Amino acid sequence: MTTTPLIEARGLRKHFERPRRFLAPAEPPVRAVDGVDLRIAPGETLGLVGESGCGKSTTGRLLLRLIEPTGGAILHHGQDITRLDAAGMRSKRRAMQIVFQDPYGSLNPRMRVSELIAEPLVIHGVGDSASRASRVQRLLDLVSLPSSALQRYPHEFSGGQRQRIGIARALALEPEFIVADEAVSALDVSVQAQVINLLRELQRDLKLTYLFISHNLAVVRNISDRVAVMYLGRIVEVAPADALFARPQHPYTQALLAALPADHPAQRRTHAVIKGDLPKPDANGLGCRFANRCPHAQSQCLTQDPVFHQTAPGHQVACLRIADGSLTL
Amino acid sequence: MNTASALPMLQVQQLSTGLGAEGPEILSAVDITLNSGEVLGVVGESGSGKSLLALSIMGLLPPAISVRGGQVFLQSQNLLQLQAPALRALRGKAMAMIFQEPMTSLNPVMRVGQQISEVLRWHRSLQGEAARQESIALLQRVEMPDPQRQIDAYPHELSGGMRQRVMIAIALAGRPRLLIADEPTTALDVTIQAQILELIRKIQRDDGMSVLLITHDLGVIAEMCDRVAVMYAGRVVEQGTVMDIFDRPAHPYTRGLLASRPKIAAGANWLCTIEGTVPAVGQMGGGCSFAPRCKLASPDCAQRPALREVGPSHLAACVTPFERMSDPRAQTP
Repeated sequence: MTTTPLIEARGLRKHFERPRRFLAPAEPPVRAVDGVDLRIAPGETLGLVGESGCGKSTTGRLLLRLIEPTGGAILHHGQDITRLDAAGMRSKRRAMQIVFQDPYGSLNPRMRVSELIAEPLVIHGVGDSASRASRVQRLLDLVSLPSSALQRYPHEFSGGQRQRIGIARALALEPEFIVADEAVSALDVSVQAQVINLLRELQRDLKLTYLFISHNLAVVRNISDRVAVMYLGRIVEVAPADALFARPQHPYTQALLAALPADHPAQRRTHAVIKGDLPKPDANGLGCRFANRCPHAQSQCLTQDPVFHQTAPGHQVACLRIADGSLTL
Repeated sequence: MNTASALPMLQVQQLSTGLGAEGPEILSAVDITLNSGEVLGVVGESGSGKSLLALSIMGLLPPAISVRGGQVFLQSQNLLQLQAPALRALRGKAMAMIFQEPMTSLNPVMRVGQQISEVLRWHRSLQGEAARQESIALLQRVEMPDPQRQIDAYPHELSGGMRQRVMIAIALAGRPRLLIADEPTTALDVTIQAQILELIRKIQRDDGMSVLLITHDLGVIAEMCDRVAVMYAGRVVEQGTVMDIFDRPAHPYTRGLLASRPKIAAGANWLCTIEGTVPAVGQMGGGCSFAPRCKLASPDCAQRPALREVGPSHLAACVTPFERMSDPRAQTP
């Protein structure tokens, strides 16, 4: 990428301190995000995949500064926004929005749809009430909800419709960047397809840039231009979507893809599945996070931090053994 | 598939349930057959009634929901005619169930070993050290690491995957012929899901157990099942072999469900969608419940279509299955 990324993270870290228990020694902090570098170009969708606790949602929130990083930097169009004060951040927030997973918990149940969608406009003082009303109507059209929805409350809608309301809210301030955090994960497959198609249409029509966070690899495959795979607070592999799914390099990415259930009964899994549980992200911060489950791990993997190694244009892998050429896959 | 025993392991015939005595119908004349030694998948979206079907079979319906009609046969035994004590003797022994959320279905204040021993005491009259040894053996069977130690763990000390292994050990304790697994891997991460599915499959093969696997995930169906029943709005709309369902889906809903699923191999394709949403309980008309969302609906659909044979042991409840698969409206996304 030669153009300036729309959003960029450099060495982003978020450590959560654990509550001290009486007389117990202090426990090490949870390293939820532990040195994440990523760049998202304008108009692009970066998929961020990983299992529970890998830090993908925390990463999304850090990029919008909904939570404050422990270390590292966030750049918006090349401008460092990590230390921006509240007033400065407020104008940035118009350009960056988030859609949450739970369409039940993320909408105020006491507000009508018209108020819910207009709320961001009111907070940012956009237009007068007449112009806001017409904007709300346009947003409703954009997400294919009927005008009759305006006077109704969230509980009157199905999960898919609520997610459309959440998307309309996120679009109200005409953002350029949207973090979709498991935005379709709570939906049934037929409804999920409707919302995925809607997100793709909106991106095409409004030139949006997405960070699409999901644990569902098939959904990420469908919507993303590039995909980053996270494991215990680190990105282990990033590549164009086609390359990542056709030629996964990192042993964890390979394990993740191999664990997927078949698309068709004729393609059932015949190989052994990866053993062991996900460890907790509170390790000492040394070495490769995946080393203790990795079938290819050597002693160096336990002590040395892997850095990104480029295996093909745009395809980067954080694996010592791939970097030193001792592991070819 | 086992053809030696002619009697199916489980046969549900025209089962209907509803809210109270007068309230809306929830399950509507459901027919499914699970042959001995096979894995039958029940797939459907939220509100399709698939979990309620499992609870009806186990006799665990919440008090507000009552059976309105139909039969449930476990081999030759009609479960709906059994008195509570007779049903209790079967539950956990002849048939066992595992649930989606192993945290809420395990007792949080009992050690894992005690929860397994409870079944052993009740159904196999094992006590004390014998029960403890058998519990350890069961934990070994479900591939629990370090079972000698984990037998004394409390559920909160275990990960989600390990809890689900404990659930499976409890289910296996009574040596059931029928295992009902209701979304057993939905709450688990994909690598852990793979481990648990592998385990269920291994036990099923080793014991020749019959499994009713309830899921919303067509991937899990493709991975695990011999035959599949597709449910929509409280009804079975299609039933057939897993190959029939994936290669020759007869019901427009099944076809829509398969087409709306994103697939790794398909890349960034535009997904087909089923417009509209599942009707709410009590808002289903007398006709085909899928008709309001069906691109192929015709006036004939005002009559409720019965499940009928559309191929060898392949059933579909549609007035015009297959016939209009070439209809361009069936192809448009």
